[in-house]
Order: sequence, then C-alpha cells, then structure tokens
Amino acid sequence: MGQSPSTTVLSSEFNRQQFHDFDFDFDFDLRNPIDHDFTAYLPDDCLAGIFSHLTTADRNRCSVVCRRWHRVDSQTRRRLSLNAKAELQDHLPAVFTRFESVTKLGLRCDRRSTSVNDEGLILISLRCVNLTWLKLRGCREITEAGMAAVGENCKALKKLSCASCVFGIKGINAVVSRCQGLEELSVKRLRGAHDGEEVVGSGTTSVTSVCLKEIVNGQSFAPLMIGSKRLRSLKVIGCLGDWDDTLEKIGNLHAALVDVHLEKIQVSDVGLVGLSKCLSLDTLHIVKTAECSNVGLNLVAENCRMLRKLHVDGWRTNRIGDDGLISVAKHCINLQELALIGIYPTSSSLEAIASKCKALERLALCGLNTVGDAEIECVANKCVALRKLCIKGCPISNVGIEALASGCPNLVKFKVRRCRKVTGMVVEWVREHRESLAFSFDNSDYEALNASQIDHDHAVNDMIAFHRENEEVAAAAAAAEASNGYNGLAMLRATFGFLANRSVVQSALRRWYNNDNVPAQ
Amino acid sequence: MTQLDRLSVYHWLNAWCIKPVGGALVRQEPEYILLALMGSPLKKIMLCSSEKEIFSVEEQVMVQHSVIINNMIEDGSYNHEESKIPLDCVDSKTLKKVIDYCTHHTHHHNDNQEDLEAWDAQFLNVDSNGLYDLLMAANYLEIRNLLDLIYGTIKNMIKGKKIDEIRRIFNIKDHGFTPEEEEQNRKEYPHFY
Repeated sequence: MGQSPSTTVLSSEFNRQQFHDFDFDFDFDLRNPIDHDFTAYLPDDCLAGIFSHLTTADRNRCSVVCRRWHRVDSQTRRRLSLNAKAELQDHLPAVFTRFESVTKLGLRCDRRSTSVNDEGLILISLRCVNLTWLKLRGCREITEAGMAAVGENCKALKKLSCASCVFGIKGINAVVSRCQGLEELSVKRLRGAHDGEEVVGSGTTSVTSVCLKEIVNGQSFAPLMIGSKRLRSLKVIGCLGDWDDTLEKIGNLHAALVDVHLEKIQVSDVGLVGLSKCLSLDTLHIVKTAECSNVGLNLVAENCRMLRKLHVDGWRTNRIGDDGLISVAKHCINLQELALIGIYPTSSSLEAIASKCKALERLALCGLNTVGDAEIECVANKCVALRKLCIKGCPISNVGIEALASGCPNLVKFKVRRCRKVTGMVVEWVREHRESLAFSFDNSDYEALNASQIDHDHAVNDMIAFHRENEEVAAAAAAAEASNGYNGLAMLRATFGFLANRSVVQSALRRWYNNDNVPAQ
Repeated sequence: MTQLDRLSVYHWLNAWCIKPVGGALVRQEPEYILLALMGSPLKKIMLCSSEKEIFSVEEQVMVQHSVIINNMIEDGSYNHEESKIPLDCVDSKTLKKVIDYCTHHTHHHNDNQEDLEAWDAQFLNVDSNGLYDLLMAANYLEIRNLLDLIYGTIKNMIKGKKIDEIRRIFNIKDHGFTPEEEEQNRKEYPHFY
C-alpha cells in the first residue's frame, strides 16, 4: 500500500488466544448476541471516532473489514505516511482520491531510491489543501518549485519537518514566506544552493519552535529565530558558525523562550548571557559546547529561576563544574530533572543540589570521574523527591549503591551502567532490602573512545524514557544515534576543522580524530 | 455572599473567565458565572427520556459534561420553573446511566486516576446493546469524555485482531465487497486475515 508499517500485525494463533484472555468485561458473542451488524446504525462520525483511536496497523485492517468501514476510514483518515519512491508518483491521484481528509502527511524515501519529484508534490499540495503537518525525509528530487506549491496551496500548514533534502534555503523560504500560520520548523541535513540566502524572519511571527540539525549554514536561519516573537523552543545541534550573536539578540527580544537545546555548536558565555534574559526558561540543554563555562551557567541560574530541566555535558573540558552547579542549586529551586555528563563535580556541588533542589525527581550522572561513594552519599540522604536515578561510568561501588537504595524514599527506578567497581552481588542486596525498586545493572564494556557520545545519547534516551513528553527530543536522540554513521562524522569533522584555531578545543579535536579510526556503525 | 465577596470573586473570575463545558474549557463572561454562583448551588434541571420518564439532575453536573445541554441552558431557552429537556433518542435505562456517569465525574473530580479508571471500567461492564445505547446517547449529548471512554473500549476489542475475528465480533455478516474484491484483498494482505 506504500504505507510504512507501524505496529506489527499478530500472525499466530497463539498470540490471538492471549488477546482473548485479556481484559474485556463483556464479550459480544457470549452475552446477548446481536443479530445485526453492531456498527450498521452507528452514525459515521461515531465510527470515525472509533477509528481515530486505533493504531495505523489496526486501522488498516479495519479498512478492509467491510465496505462501509472502508468508506468511513478513507473519508476520515487524517494521518498518512507514504514510502515516497518514484514509483508512488503514478498512484498519488488514487491515494488522495481515497483519502480525502489527510492533514498530516509523511513522505519518506530511503537513500538508495529515487524519490517522488516536484510534480508529485504539487499534486499532493493541490489535493491536501488542509494539510497541517508535512514531513519530508530523503526526498531528493524535490526542489523549491515543489515547496512553493506547498506554500501556495497549503495555507493551513503548521508544522514543517525536512531531513536530508536538497532544496536548500530557497526551498525552506518557499514555504516559510507563504505560510503565515507556520508554527514549527525542523530542518536537518539540508543541502543545495545556499548563496547567501537567508530564511525570512520578519513576516512569520507565528513560529514557536525551530529545530536545526547538522546544517552547514544554520546562521541563515538567524533572522527567522530573531524575528519570531512567539519563539518558545530553540534547538541548534551541530551547525556551523558562531551563535553568540544570534543568542544575544534572541535573549533581548524573546521573553517567551522556554526550551533551549544547544549541542556541538560554537557558543560561549556571551550566548549564555543572552539566554539568561529569557526569564521563563524551563528547559536548558548545553551539550558539548566547549566554550561555555561556570560564568555563563551562573548567570543563567541567577536569572532563570523557573528552570526545571537542565542537562550539562561538559565534554571533559572542565569549564563547567562546582561553581556553576552550586549557583544552579541556589537559584533554581524548581529543578526537577538534572543530567550531568563529562564534568568534574565534587561533594560541594552535589551536596548543594541535594539539599536545595527539593523538587528533583530525575537525576542522571554519566562519566563523572570525581563522583564516588562519598560524593553520592548526600544524594542518598537528601534527595527526598528523587524517583528515577541513572548512574553510568562513575567510580561508585556497591557501598554507594546500597546507600542509595536505602535512602531516597521515593526512588522507583534505578539504573547503573559501566560502573567498574560495582559487582553483581549488589543486585541481590537491593532485591532483599528494597523489593519495590526497579533496579537495573549492567557492566558490559563499551568502546572507550565512543563513550562520550554514547553517554550523552543514552542519557538523553533515559530522560526520554523518564519523561515522554516531547516528541522532538525523541526524534533528536534517535537521529543522534543514526548520525554515528559516516555522514555525521564527515559533518562534524568539518565543524572541528573550523574550530581548529581555538586552543581550548584541542583535547576535543584529538578525540574526534581518534574517532576516525573507529569503523562507522 | 456579601457585597465584598461578590466583588472579589468577580475580579478573580474576570481574570480567568474559564468554565468547563462538555469536558473542554471555554471562555465565559464573568457576569454569567457570577449569576450561576449566586443562584442556588443545587439548582436542578429536568431531563425527559424517550419513555417520558423525568429525571431531575443538578444543572451543574450536566452542564459540565454535555455540550448540547450546556448550549440549551445558555441560550436561555430553558426555563427552570417549567421546562424539561426532551431527549427522544435516549431511553430511561440509558439516561439513568449517563446521569450516573456525569454525576460521579463531577463529584469525584479530584479522585486519583486509578480510582476513576476502576469506576469507569465497572461502569462500562454492560452488554453489547447497553454499550451501543450509551455510545449513541453520549454522541447525541456530546459528552466528550464518555465518548472517548467508549471509543477506548471498542478500540480494545479491535486491537490486534484479524479481520475474520473483527467481523465475527461486530456481527458483520455481509462485508459488501464483491467476491473479486475480497479475493484481491486476501491475496494482497494475507496477514490481515
């Protein structure tokens, strides 16, 4: 059908039996058998309501149960995900004759195939005038002409997400300049003519969320970010250029900024100063931004008192440490989620956080060589609200694990990975002394070289598992893993070529060139 | 309420001006809310089933859950002294259940999630005809949360099942496809059947 599979269809008799035993308080067959089609007299919108609660797989099956269900499903299906190979193009008229209410459309083409082209996209834009979401993946044949058609015809568009497309900034502009209601923009690995084009910013005051990943001239999006008065969420990952200036300007203009994620980009304390002006800041991730130091973090903490989620990956450059964390502890009393990776905190900052951040529910400590049993004790004793804890690659031992399992009264989930001093015996201990705790322990070795990347990715994954609220984060994390392939490395090699004259990043550089020896995964 | 109380409530309402209607939050004029508050807290309305049986129920309860009833009361066509709202599509048994659902959810609004879910599961412990009637009533009265609850239950009946099974459960004897179409479908998607 050209649709991407979602949940797997059960195929064995055994599995079906399991579903029979499961759950329902009533069974149509056993009690009061009905002699007519149960759904025959249900109005269409009720049937549509039922279908809207089904997964794609279930819904696909329902569409061939009977003619009426087929009709109702076709008329009311809103979300469609198509395998956008060139072969699909001839079938597009039939697809959109059948599905007349599509508002969320995904077109995904794999690397080895030719994708649908502009003609296909133009047809789609004419048939789906009520489109609110458009997702393009790897549609390499689409140019700015196709995107312009989308902009012209799909005026209700709210969300545009493009990855691995080649229509350049012109293609993005083609939509952004025409769709005044656009709210979310997500662009990853954009190639194509760039030519000093900039993404228009002034007209589009409705954009609330911008996410850029691995874009060579991400700076071209600066006018959009600065000009969007309602900007709430900003994510910039692995994009070239100096972002301090942009962040400064954003800070001055956008009080509404709530969610910021900066990763592997050139930003320093100047940029953080800009961010500190966003007083409603709720979530901040500063990941592998080697120029950010305690000074910047201090300022953010002092001003952004509403901060609830903080992830810091210092990339072992030792510029963010105790000072910054103590400041966070002192000012950000609403902190609920904290992830510390690749920094060197000591008891003083951990103690401060444990005592002052009374609302802390989720904590992740990864690759912190200075955190051992002594340091972890204050967490055990004072983090009363803590529910989920993850410790990776830290020099704690069974003693520390036992202390944590004995303390932290609200702890529900506890994960330990790659802590060399911890042995399997502790699993038994925890089961005996704290049965209700979901404790997971694994000591298998990873490539030490890749540890830093994996640490962060896994920490991010943990946080996602902890708190499945933001789909964007999940997509970013999944993509981060995918980018461990050669494409990502090539991009990042380019990034660090640019940074080569910054002495502070020397150690980071060395790590990346070492990584060149690691085979692409 | 003293004059001072009314004034402070007025200002507070003015700032928020929100009111739950049919499960959603809707802006309301503060005067209207104030009037509603000033009135007797247990103001009742009359609902009349298709069997001409009359049910008296708190206005607040029905207005919070049913968009249709809320609209009727709001546009002033309902006179509290005399009128009753005729619901010709809903029989007494079903209407009683619907009122039960709305009343419980209004009064137990602050209960924890598990308790509410358990109550809902027990509430839906009915036979197929009962479920059908409830669905039609909830749809007619536009009670969003009851509708979603029923949809969720039916979803579970469909989840993971093959087509032959689904046809059996919903008693769909004639699928309406031509023999050629049905054969084509079975060939193309054998794992569905």
